[in-house]
Parts: sequence; structure tokens; C-alpha cells
Amino acid sequence: MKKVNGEPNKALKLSMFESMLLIRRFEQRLLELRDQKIARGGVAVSIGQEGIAVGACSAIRREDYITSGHRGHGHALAKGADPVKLLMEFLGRRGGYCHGRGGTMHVCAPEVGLMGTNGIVGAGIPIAVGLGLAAKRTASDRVAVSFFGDGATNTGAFHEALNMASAWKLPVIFICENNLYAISTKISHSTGNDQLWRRGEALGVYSARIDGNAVMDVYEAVRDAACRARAGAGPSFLECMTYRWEGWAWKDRDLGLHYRTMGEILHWQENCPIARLRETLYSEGDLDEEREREIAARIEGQLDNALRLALSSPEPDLADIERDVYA
Amino acid sequence: MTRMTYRQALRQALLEEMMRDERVFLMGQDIAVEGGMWEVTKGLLDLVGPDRILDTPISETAILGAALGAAMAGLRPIVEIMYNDFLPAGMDQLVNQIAKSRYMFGGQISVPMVIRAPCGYGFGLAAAHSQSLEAWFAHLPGLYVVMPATPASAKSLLKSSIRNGNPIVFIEHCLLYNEEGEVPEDQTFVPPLGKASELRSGRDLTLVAWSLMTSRCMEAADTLDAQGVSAAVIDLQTIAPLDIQTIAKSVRQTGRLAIAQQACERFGVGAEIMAQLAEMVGGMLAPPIRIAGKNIPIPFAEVLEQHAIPSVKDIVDASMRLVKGGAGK
Repeated sequence: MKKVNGEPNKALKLSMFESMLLIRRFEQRLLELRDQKIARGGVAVSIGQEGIAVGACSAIRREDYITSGHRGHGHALAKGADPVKLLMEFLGRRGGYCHGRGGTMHVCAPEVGLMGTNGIVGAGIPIAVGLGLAAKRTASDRVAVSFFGDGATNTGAFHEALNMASAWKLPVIFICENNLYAISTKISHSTGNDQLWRRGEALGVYSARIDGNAVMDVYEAVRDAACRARAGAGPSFLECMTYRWEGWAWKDRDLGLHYRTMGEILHWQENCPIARLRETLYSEGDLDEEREREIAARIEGQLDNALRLALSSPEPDLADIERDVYA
Repeated sequence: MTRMTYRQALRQALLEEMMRDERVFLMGQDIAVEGGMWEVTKGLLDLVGPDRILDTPISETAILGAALGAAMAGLRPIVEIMYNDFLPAGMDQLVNQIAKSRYMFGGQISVPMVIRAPCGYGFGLAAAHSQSLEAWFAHLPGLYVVMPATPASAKSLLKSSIRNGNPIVFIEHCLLYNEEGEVPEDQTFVPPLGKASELRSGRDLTLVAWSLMTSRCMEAADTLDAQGVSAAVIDLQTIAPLDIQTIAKSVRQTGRLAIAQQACERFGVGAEIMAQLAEMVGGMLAPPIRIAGKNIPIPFAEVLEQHAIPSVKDIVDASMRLVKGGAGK
């Protein structure tokens, strides 16, 4: 990446701005589609958390691997998956990445290194260790990034995976999106030490807590972690502080006000990752209203087109219902 | 043909396939320096080097998950789990990830991996080290379950499993590791999975077995023969997918079926065989029977342990009752 005065350049920031906006609008539209009963399934959105997906995926290469959890639409889009094929998948259509077999929690796009989002909390973390192991064994300089929430850090899979990656110095970057709640359970109720990054440190993994809503901070931390990983220095664990604006998923359309307050939600909405980057771009003279309108219009056009194509994609072929159980 | 043990046959299969395909590598607990709890991988570290045989932490979830990731990335991992009883410690990876990834991701990826795990009993290790859990794994669409009974099939089926391209639970038997037999020298012999083998033909009844129970049925068939009863013996070799046609063909000839399984009786592979046969073969001379492990956790004391699992005598006695009338128990 070219740098200007030690900072990644304007084009990178603009592209991250557009990518975050695409994720936000994609997911807002997906929620509308669910409310209209056009989309079904979990539909766990990452609105408010886009800075982590975009900062991280902008700092790695197309051929690098990622795995994700149930809140993975943003990671897929940030890694470069096609919004059309994603939307087709999320609407259960034949043209989707997985031909309508996986849906919103289980999407895979190997062509861009997305090796699966995952419906089981924590399960994608050891899979990323294996992707990193393969990279090391084949002497490629790929890295594997695993995205997961704070809830996943209480699973055995998390601890086993970080420990193994540490023992074998694997090129894996573990990214925890700490949005403070596992469904309704507040982090202070689920652990005696909410400094989650220290769990990585305890296992000998380079670990840090960063502001997940500062997309440039995420970008730089992941860029450095990827450099270390490619140099053979082993894994990193980044605890990225963030907040989900919407409810947890399908049964939580009331914003989760039975376990958190409107005041808390509004506080975090003022700390929006997109608004913060927008402010930087405006203050540095890299964005103005006209340019912003162009970007927004481009995204809406892209999503209009995606929805039109998705709705015109046929339902999965019943003749294929037993295909691909085995290779 | 070369005479060797089941253990040696497995080791030879691993080594031949690692020499043939550099994508193949091994990972498991104490398999490199120690050579494995059952010494199947003993000596391989010196032959293939530390990059291709990895001692892992005691982390079944991470071992299975990492193998899945490596398989998705194009490698061919072979995992050793010390006892099949320890697979439940990594069951989410097996059930929700390994078995389902190919289908759920629309066939975009494949999962070419082998999970070697012995079953068995007889060492006084009690309930959590003495189970036969094949029915758990066979229940999952997406997995193959392979259980060799002889040194020859141990070698050929392991080679086939490594080359197969699907996730395979390959269950060895710890009481068979020292058993000797003739093994073909042909390194290219890789029979298709999913085929049962009729080891012995017979007129009066069909004995179906797998793993350790296959040799017990062969021994029982000798005893039965001396008493004027002719028993066919079918070794399943692959549990899933099940080769019901080979069983049905034999049962149509003998009219009687006895299934010998080490696993406890309820909801087992024997039950599945009976159900499938009931849908395709009518007019049996007697209702089919299962000679199975008792529906208990395997106990520690030797006398209890031995009585929890069918013996050769149990198979002979049940077969005689089946043939002479008064079938069932």
C-alpha cells in the first residue's frame, strides 16, 4: 500500500468508506426484506460494526483466507464477495453462492477467500487455524483471518484454536468483534475478566485491544498482524471494541431493549464507524457532498440491480436436493 | 502376499500414501515422537520428517477443525484420535462442520480427510475408553464410516480412504492391532469403499459383522460347521454407505440373518441393517436376530467387561437357536 506522510492514501480511505456504506445499506435492505417475509432465516446483521470487516479485509489480499460466524454478511462483502450472489443466497435462490443450501449463516465464496461463515458460535476459529496451517505447510505467504464475536471467546474452540496457532506459529489473525453482548447476556455476566485480549496474551499470542469503530486503526493493526504472520512470527489476536445497533437476530427486532437501554444504543450510534471516517474525509478535503451523493447513488443502483437479479433467480432445483452430500 | 499385522498394514498404507502424495500429512496426539498410543505411526517421524507428522495439543476441537481447514485449502490431512470415545470432545467440528461443509456450501469445496480412531475394549479402561460409536457417525449424511477387520482390508481400505476425497471416519480395533494376516504387495490396490465382502459362503444362515466381530463370526462359523450348520459370513468393511445388496443377496439364499455387533444393541448399525432388509427381503425362514453388546456403559472389572460384549460362544449359541427354531432370545 502506498503511503502519504505515513498514512495510507486517500483512495484507500474512500474505498473503505464506500465498502462500509455498501455493507450498511445491504444489511438495512436485507432487514426490510425479512420484515416483508421475502428473506428468511437468522439474518444477523452487523450494522454499526462495519469498520472491523472493512478495516481488516482492506489490509489483507484477495487470496488470503477468512472465516466468520453467524454475523458474517459484512465480512463476505468486505472480502469482495459478489453482492448479487450473496443476496441470491440469502433469499434462498439457485444462483446464490451455495445454491440456497447455506443461507445467511453459512455462505462460502472460495473465489475471494471466504472459506465459510458459520452458524455455530466459535466453530470457524479452528477452521482458520487449519487454513493457516495449510498456508504454512505449502510455503505460501497467505494468512487466515477469523472473525468472531465476544461470545465465541467463551467457547473451547476459541482457546484450543489460539493455543494451537501459538504453539505452531501459524499465520492466523484472530479478530474478536466485542459488541458487549452475546445475544442478551452482557459481557460482565459471562466472564470475570472482560479484557478479552488478555486471553490471547495468556496463550502467547500477540494481542491488543483496539477501537473497532476506528476503521483506520483496524486497518493498521491488521496490516501489521499480517506482516508478522507472513514473516513467520505467528498469530495475533485483536479485540475490537464495537456495538451492534440492531437486535441480535431474527427474534430481536425490538433492538434488544429488554437487556440494554436506548441511551446506550444512542451513545454508540454517535460513535458510528462510517460517520467517523466521513468526518475525516471531509476534514482532509477528500470528500464533499457531491462526491458523497455519487457514492450513495452508485451503491443504491448496485443494490437495486442485485435485488432485481436475486428475485429473478429461480428457486433451487429439487432435482439437486441430494447433490453434493459427497464429492 | 506378505504376512504382517493389522498395525503394520496400517502403517504401510500411511507411508505409501504419504510417499505418493505430498498433500497427505498426519496430525494427532502423541503420534510423532511416541508413535501413537497404539504404535501405528511408530517410526514414521524418521521417514517423513516433522513437517508431515504433527504432535498436537490435547484439543480435539482444534485438531478436527484445523484438519477441516487444511482439507478445504487442498491438503489431505489424516487425523488420529486416540480412542473413538474422544471424538465427542470435538463433535461439533465433526457433526456440524466436517460432515456438512460440502453440501451446505453448495459443492464449492470438498473435504478430503481421514479421521483414524480405534474402538475396542478388553484393557480394563472402562466406560469412556471402550465404546464402539460407529452408529453415531454413520447417522450423519456426508461422512463415510470404514471399519476394517483384517490386515489386508486395513491396508487397502485405508489407502482407499486417503484417496477418496470425502471425510472418512476410519475406525480401527485395538484388539486387532496384533492380528496377523496375508496382505497383497500391490501398492496400487485401492478397492472402492462401500462394498461388503463375503468371506465365507453358507446355506443355513447369514452372519453379518464388522471389525472385531468379523473374526469372531469366522470362528463361530467353523464351530457351527462342525455341528452341521453352514453359515455365510459377510464382513461389512464400510458401515456407511451400507452395502445392503450383498447382505440381501446372501439372506435370500440362506433365509436367516444374524448380525453380530460389539456396540450396544439399541439404535445401532444392526438395527439399520434389519430395517433396510425388512423393506426388501420377504419370506425369511425366521425373524432376524442381533447378537450385540449389552445396553450398558462398559464396566471395569474383567468379568463384567467380558460379558458386556458378544463372545464366539454367544454367536454360536444364538446361531444354533436361529437355525434350529426357537429363534430370538
